[in-house]
Amino acid sequence: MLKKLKIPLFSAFVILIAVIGWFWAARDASFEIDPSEVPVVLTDVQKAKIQERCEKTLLAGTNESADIPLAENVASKASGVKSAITPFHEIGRSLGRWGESNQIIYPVGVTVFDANGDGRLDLYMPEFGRLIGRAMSKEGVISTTQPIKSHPSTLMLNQGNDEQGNPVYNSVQDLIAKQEDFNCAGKELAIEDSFRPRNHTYPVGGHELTSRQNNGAVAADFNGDGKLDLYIVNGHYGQNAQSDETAFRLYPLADNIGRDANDNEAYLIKVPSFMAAGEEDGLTVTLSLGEKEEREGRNTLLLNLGDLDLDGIPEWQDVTEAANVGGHWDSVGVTVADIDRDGDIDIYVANFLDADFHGFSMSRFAGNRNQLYLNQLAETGELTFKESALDYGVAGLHKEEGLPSSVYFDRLGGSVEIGEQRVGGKLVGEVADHSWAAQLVDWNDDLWPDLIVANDVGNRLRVYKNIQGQSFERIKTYDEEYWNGCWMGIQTADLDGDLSDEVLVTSCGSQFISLRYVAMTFKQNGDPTEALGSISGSNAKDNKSHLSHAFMSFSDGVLKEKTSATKIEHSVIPPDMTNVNNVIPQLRHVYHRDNMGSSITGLEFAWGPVFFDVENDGDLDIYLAGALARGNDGGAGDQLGGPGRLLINESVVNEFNFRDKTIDYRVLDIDLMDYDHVPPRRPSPGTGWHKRDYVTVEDMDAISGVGLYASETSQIHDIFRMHEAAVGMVSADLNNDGYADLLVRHKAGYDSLSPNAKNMKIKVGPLTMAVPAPNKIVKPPRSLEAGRTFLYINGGVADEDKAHWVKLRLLDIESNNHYAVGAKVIVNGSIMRRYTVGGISFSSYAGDMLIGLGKEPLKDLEVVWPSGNQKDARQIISLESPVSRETLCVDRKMGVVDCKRAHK
Amino acid sequence: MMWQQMIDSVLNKNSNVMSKFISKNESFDIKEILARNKIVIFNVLIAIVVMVLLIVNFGSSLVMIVESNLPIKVDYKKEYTLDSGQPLTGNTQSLNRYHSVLNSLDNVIVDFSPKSKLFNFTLTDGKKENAKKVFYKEIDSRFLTPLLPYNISQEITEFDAYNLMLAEYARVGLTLSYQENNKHFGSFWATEGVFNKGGEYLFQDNEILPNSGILPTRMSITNNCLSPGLWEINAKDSVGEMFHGWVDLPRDIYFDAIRANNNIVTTDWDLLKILKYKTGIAVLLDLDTLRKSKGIIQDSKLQLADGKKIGSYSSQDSRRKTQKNFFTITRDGEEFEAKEFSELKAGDTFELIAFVPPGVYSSTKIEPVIYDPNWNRVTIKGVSPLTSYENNESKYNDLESLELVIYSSDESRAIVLGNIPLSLLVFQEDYAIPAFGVGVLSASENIERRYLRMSEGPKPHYAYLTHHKEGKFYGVNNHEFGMEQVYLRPVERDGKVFLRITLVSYERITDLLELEVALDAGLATKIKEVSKTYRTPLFRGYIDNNIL
Repeated sequence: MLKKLKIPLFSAFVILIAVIGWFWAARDASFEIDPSEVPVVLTDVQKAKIQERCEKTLLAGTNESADIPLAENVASKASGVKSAITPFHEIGRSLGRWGESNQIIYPVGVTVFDANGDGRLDLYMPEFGRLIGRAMSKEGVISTTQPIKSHPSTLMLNQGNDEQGNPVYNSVQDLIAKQEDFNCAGKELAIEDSFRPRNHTYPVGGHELTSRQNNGAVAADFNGDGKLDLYIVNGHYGQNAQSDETAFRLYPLADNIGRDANDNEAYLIKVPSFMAAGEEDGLTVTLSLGEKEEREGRNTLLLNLGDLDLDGIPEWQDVTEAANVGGHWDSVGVTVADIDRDGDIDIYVANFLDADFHGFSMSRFAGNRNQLYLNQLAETGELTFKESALDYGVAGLHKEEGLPSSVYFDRLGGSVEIGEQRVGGKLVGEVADHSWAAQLVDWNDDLWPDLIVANDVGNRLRVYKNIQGQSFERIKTYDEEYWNGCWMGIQTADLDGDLSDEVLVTSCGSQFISLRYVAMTFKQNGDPTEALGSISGSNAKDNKSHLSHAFMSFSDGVLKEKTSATKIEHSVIPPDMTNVNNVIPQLRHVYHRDNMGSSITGLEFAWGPVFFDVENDGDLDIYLAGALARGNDGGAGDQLGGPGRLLINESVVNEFNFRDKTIDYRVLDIDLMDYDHVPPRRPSPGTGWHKRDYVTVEDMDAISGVGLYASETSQIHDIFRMHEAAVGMVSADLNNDGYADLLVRHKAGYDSLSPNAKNMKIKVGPLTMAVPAPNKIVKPPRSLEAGRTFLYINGGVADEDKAHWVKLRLLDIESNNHYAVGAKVIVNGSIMRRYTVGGISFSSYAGDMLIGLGKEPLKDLEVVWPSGNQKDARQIISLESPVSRETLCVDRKMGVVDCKRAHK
Repeated sequence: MMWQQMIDSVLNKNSNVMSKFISKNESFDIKEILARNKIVIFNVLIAIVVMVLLIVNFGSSLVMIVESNLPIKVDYKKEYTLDSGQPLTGNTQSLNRYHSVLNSLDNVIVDFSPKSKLFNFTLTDGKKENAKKVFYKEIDSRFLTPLLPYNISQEITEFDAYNLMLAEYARVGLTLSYQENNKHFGSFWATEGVFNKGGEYLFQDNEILPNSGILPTRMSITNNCLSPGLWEINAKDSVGEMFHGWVDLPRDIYFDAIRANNNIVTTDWDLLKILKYKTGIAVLLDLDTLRKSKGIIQDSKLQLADGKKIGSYSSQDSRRKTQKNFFTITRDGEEFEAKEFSELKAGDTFELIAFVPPGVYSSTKIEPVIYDPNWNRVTIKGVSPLTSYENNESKYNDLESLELVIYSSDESRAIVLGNIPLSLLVFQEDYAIPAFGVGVLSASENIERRYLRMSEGPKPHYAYLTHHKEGKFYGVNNHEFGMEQVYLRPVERDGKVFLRITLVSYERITDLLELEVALDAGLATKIKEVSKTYRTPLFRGYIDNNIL
């Protein structure tokens, strides 16, 4: 049987072997992994754990797992940066939720003053009441219907220092919420500047009313009662780049490997469609959410009523309408002084243009007239103002005031009028300047406060001389096309110790000639687009624009520009544009001409600026920061933003030298920095970052995506893409230790750089999916993150013998300019300071003048009073004994007085 | 099992490990065989018939006999999903995923010319008329296939075979820009009407909606790391993945490409054997074919990097995997919470989510990798590279190149890293070794950078995980030990220059270990000098997204 079956059996065996062989081959052929490589098979419990972990992290993100070092903790460790310097430490998180802004589009400023008269400096943080943008869940899912909830404008009251010597702030809203009765709550909450003031905070902490669009404020005693009032400037609701007409235009590049250029059709860069606001004309809109209808953009004058119920919270009264200081323009800046020396405080308001119609990407750019409100208190005894800008020649109206209203267009061989702007056929503004900031300051030292106005591209910097308080004379030098800049903020002070002023006006900074910026905004034939933003950049080559910061010094009766003569000793992270290889070749002569490698011209975009004496050594240092959005956004944040620069003053007379000590003092405008690490670093963003887990100050890259030449030659710092969107900033001694602290406010945005950041998500059926970028240039939207306030506390200096200081409180109780706004002082014959209010973008300080004295205590003092008769303005005081580390009160009539008895 | 035990096991159970790579050629008399084996031959014929029948039935799953130029099905629904329905993937998923027109292009035709060494891929919807087509045009096959970038002899050696295998099981991918033509490298292109130039999402009735016809910012092709011939096709928009498909490349095409690119003569059978995933190997490294030694520059102790965080990553772009907790750490079988590596001890285990056929992350399987900090000595040698991608004009090797040998505490194991150009060891950027082997390319790279890397970049480096015995190094399969990449970065601290060496895990999920060596003054000075003038090379920085 077996023999008979031998062949069939053998055949079957062969078939069996063949089949096995086939399976073996098939196993190999289908390329499954070796059995020894089959991963461990888990139990159901283990599977469930993995599933749970993945679900949790995919849907809920990484908040729980992230280990974010708090900056204050980091700062308390031993310094990794070898330096004798005592760095600042950052405590902004202690401000809590009201210290964070939800504002995405508009600026947020800060005003520092003593609101309740307790001797401690409080913070007023303006906010916008109607926000553009949609809410986002913790999982990063954007709502289809829910708008971002606005914060009320908030007064943070200084509660004194904690055990570590840091100031403790609490909001009026939270303080009221803890109270049992609400007797004065309505007046206390008027500070929120809501359309309809509320009488209590129920529900606790809630803010259900719509506030005005608060951009900034100044504190001053407008009614001469000794208490600091608030003048708040309000803007228009709007959003730029919504339509084809207002969209930014970028152009295809020519130099890529192995292919011809695309056609030269511009890409239109608009805001994400879910961020559109409609092109509502703020000039004509009225709003009816108040006690009575009002025009959008109405500013607010709140009189400080004192603390009527003695609960530590001041009460306020809105006297805007009665005082006639409302206006209805897109107001962004304000400065005050006694312009006519009549003994009361006047107001100058800088107006921009409804964001719907910003003309940066057009060849037209309108504006709105600025206001000069002359206080009639001295004349009439009534707190009313007379709007006199046009009469005084400072309204910024081009035709009426004969202002140059043109921009040079190389391609057209001449200048072109740009003031009249139509969008969709509609005239959208006035033929007027669009101004960000203004400063009233006696820059020519003739005892009359002069005026400097910072206008954006298309307009020149305006510099005016006060003529005996009766009018202003425009300095014609600045009518030149060279002064067409994107001027942002202004500060004026003596920086070289010659007892006369220097003026720093911030601008777009050096990026305007970068390979990256220019490559995208220039057509292939080398022409810039007709957008004013790029025309202005291009015009720098022929000295027909000025987009770097401007530095002027007063001598021989005039302001002389010293910008490219300044010298900066850079740190380990010099601005990218100090590297000539990052400059487009066609504009390289600008780099050399303007000394970008080692002067202020090489610095980045900034708002501000802030002058303060970091080490109390007797000279004022400079802090610069600012951005239109957070970094690493591929758009405005990368083009127009900076990492923060603290420039320590090392000037001598007429030689303006600075040393960049930003890292040493730990004041980079970058969150989560670990300065103790070598090299200093911060955690990488949770999305949109394809490198390692930390970004260090050493990490470098090339400019990518804008052509071969840029990639080949450029060299840029990764850390610069980690900056926050700084807007408002100010310096003041917040913990009352005699050293100037620094406060920087930031915008919110769908551009989080947090290690917890995620992509913006939406629900698509049951899935949660990421939202792509709105256009081919910018990066996809990320988590919506509020703009946290950075509150840097100055660590002081080790050798206090080199850091004497005094706080000076000037009192002119005979006038209504009670605290002598606009005064000039010279201490020890060598240090000159002015008490100015305004000029810094969206921010201001009102209070005692903190003056660093260096090695010598205060021995003598000269005060030039800002109000009243000029002949009596100068007062010289020799102290019986030197004064240091205390507040000195000087009364115009009585000389040095006891500060406790000095209040009115 | 500890690393050392695993190595020992490999060596003990494989006394003749080389035979795993190369089949022996034996001479034989065919007539004699025929005469003696009539019945056997008869049965073999029967077996062939049976196999043909089986193939007819199951042919589509038999990659090895798929012919060229016939459409291959693209599978785009292979990912594991979580209970929520979310795909388990390391990639960000765009709202356009599952909505893209690309999902309808489920056929791919591949052709390869051994003469030009170029691949062409055509994705199509399979219609005969008005078919929608997306072309991957003229992709240099060297950019994707295993390479032997050094002088090889006529007959493949065991070392060559070992290198091919290491390269095969590394993920090697390319991303392409949308261009009709490029003179130097491949691109993707589509017939009219496939894509539109609208926004990447639509905004209608207050809703954000997918745009199914959106033109991808990049499409990619990837030689998957799991098995020879399994490739992936992928498309991305600005935020993430909008399409992902898997395709089995015809074996004849794939093998032809490998043969052409390496100028080797092998049968499919031998090549299949060479490329087969092997465990338990130890191949004597022939380093003299890769470099000319100039002698040892430095012999120093290594130390663990201080303060290294668990879940950290180097430049391998693993942010999403660590965010999504693609790993846990266990000690004695129990999950163990640790924030820094200093809290770990030898024998703790990284349990990584497994990457399984056909190239997806598993929601049920893990890959354990044992934490092993016992590496404490390094030698640094000067070398002259003998490797090349045909980029002999490279300027990056003008300065010295280095070879690092990192020894385990008992010196029975070593990691050999070589042909590292000093000119690219700088403070500003990581030097990446994206895979073990010689000249193995990275998991994903823009084609323009790969073109630049291989035409003017540095000479190919090498990296091997080895058993060390009596001065000789025997290469093992690094994948067995969960080790996939190495990153090098000098750092300056307290006036000294340290070289930081980061070992990266299986699937590039997270860093496994970070070591540091203080460099002697000579090297330190050179690195400082190089760093001063360093500029990101084009092969690292250039990108042409074709959008500007």
